[in-house]
Amino acid sequence: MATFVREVPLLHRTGLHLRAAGKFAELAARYQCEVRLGVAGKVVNGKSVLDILTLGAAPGVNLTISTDGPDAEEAVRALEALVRQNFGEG
Amino acid sequence: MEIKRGIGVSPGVAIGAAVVIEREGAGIGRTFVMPDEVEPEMERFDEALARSRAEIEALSEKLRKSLSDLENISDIFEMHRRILDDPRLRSQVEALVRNRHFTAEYALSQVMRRYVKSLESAGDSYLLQRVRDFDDLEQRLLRNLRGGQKEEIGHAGKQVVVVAHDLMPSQTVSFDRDRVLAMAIEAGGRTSHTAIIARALRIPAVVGVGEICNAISDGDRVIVDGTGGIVILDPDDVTLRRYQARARSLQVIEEKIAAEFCNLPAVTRDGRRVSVEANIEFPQEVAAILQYGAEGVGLYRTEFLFHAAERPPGEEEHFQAYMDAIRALGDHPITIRVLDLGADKFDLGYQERNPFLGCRSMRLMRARPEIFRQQIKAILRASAFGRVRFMFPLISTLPELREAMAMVNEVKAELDGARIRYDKDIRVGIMIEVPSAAIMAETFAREVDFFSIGTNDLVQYTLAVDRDNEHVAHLFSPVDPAVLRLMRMTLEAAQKAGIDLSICGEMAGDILYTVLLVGMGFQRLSMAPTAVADVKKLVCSVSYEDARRVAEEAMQMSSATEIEEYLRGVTRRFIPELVGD
Repeated sequence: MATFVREVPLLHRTGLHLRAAGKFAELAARYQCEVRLGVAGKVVNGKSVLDILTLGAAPGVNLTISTDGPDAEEAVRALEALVRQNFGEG
Repeated sequence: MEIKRGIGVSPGVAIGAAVVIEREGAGIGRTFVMPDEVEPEMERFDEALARSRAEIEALSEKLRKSLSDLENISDIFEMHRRILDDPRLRSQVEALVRNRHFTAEYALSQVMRRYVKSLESAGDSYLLQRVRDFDDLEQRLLRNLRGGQKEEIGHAGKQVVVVAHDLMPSQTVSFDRDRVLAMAIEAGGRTSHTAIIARALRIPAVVGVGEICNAISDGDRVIVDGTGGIVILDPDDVTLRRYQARARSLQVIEEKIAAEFCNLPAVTRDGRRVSVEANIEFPQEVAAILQYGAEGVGLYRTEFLFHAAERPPGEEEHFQAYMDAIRALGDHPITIRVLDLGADKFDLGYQERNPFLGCRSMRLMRARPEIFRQQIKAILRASAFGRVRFMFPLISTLPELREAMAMVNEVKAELDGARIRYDKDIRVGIMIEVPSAAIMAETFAREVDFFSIGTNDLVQYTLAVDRDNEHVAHLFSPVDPAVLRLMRMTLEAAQKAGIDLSICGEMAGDILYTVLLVGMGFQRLSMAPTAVADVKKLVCSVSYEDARRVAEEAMQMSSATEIEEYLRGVTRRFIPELVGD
């Protein structure tokens, strides 16, 4: 068990809006570990679309993804890839 | 009997029993449960969650079938579904119920309020728009917590008139169009969500009515006149009979006129040709407008491409939409208007105090050049495949126009370089909707291929009136003498320069103004598709000579009311069956 932290730039054109936030929460929920998502010092539960929306993450900011728990390494890798691949929206 | 005036946003007359839709949120006080009631309280909340989820599933399923033309509305439900499934929603409500013994209703409203607050403070325009979705969802959950059945109005088996303060987006789209006869709404304006959906579903609707919910109970008889913008509560027998006759005859007349005129060209009795086109928002509307007898698309409002997506549409999305329209149009022409959006659609990093005088429409080109470039490129590419022309909205000064034209030329050069085909003679025009453009029309006429007068904005900017503001809406009239003079200046400038001119505001589709417009000299009108047959009939009923005399007479008058009254009389002379009292 360990904590994994990754910092990823948010390149998505409109920022972390509904669809992107939803995809993130959906993917995060598939893992047992805890997932936290932070922007500029504010950190929320990464499995909650409601909380992610309140980050108001605009394009260009750095997202901090941190995971903690049994499958934390796998989770952080998958979530980082999701952000880097622009939430599958090109 | 009580007569209320509002803004008619979707034409037609309907009479029926009211169903008043109340807001659920009103008056949720600090209410508590006993410690031993915590478990049942949470069970109640879970049931409400489950019921809301099931409703949303059913709604989006139903809409997929019945409203495929508005498929993007399903995004509303996507949001709701994701929030309902969010474990944090339940856990926070549970914490308040368990630790502070709040009732589920009170806990829910507290949790939702917290989220709305933090969305608002994020200062992002997109999130601000989503606040309404949160409100919408909260209403649904509260209703289910209270075991309410109001959602079922569309399924009651009986036809009803919906009366509400305001409708949530998910409510409006969920109405069954066979059951909802009409809508009367206290709040809202012409571009409100309700208005757009009502028009799409062809349900008569009046918005901005002011207080009616308290004056009316379920089952009361209501008349909604969406053409006249009137709602009549508890009509007396005479009024009722008059409107019954009107509702019946309107339907019969509309069908008759449509059958008779939709396929005929509009030509005055002395042979002056007037071309009648339609305004569209979606390419899918093209088939319908041709059935209505429109001779082309005089105004394609491309904003829907923008509203439908979370991010600005790219070149390909624009191109595909234009190609869909062009294919359906065949040989008929189409005029595409470049995105006409408010700054609120973009995060410019500041709030505008006066958006209508702010960085809207073409003025956004400096802040977001890429969005415009991609659209212009898509329009040019599409021009290789059909009779396409395009126009810039809200041009107010010549340098603005030149800046826009510079971008067109750059994009053309780019296409030339890449050997991509487009119509080299494509016509580029501007909307005349700011008084400065009308005043300077002679100068503009030397630099563009056509003008299209957008009467809605021209009236608003000339008279400084927001017609969605019920306190000043009475000042809004397209036939205010000042507006008519600006229109005449524009017309004369276009004639002198020999360029094409059309009118694409709502005025063009209002039969009250048809004789006047023909008489002033306009020969190209673009309107809501449902108005096409009526306008054609009116054009065919007058001679240009007579219409000219009417226009001259009207231009002598000094107030909008006087002109409206005069034109009502004139129009009644030509088609009495379509003009109310």
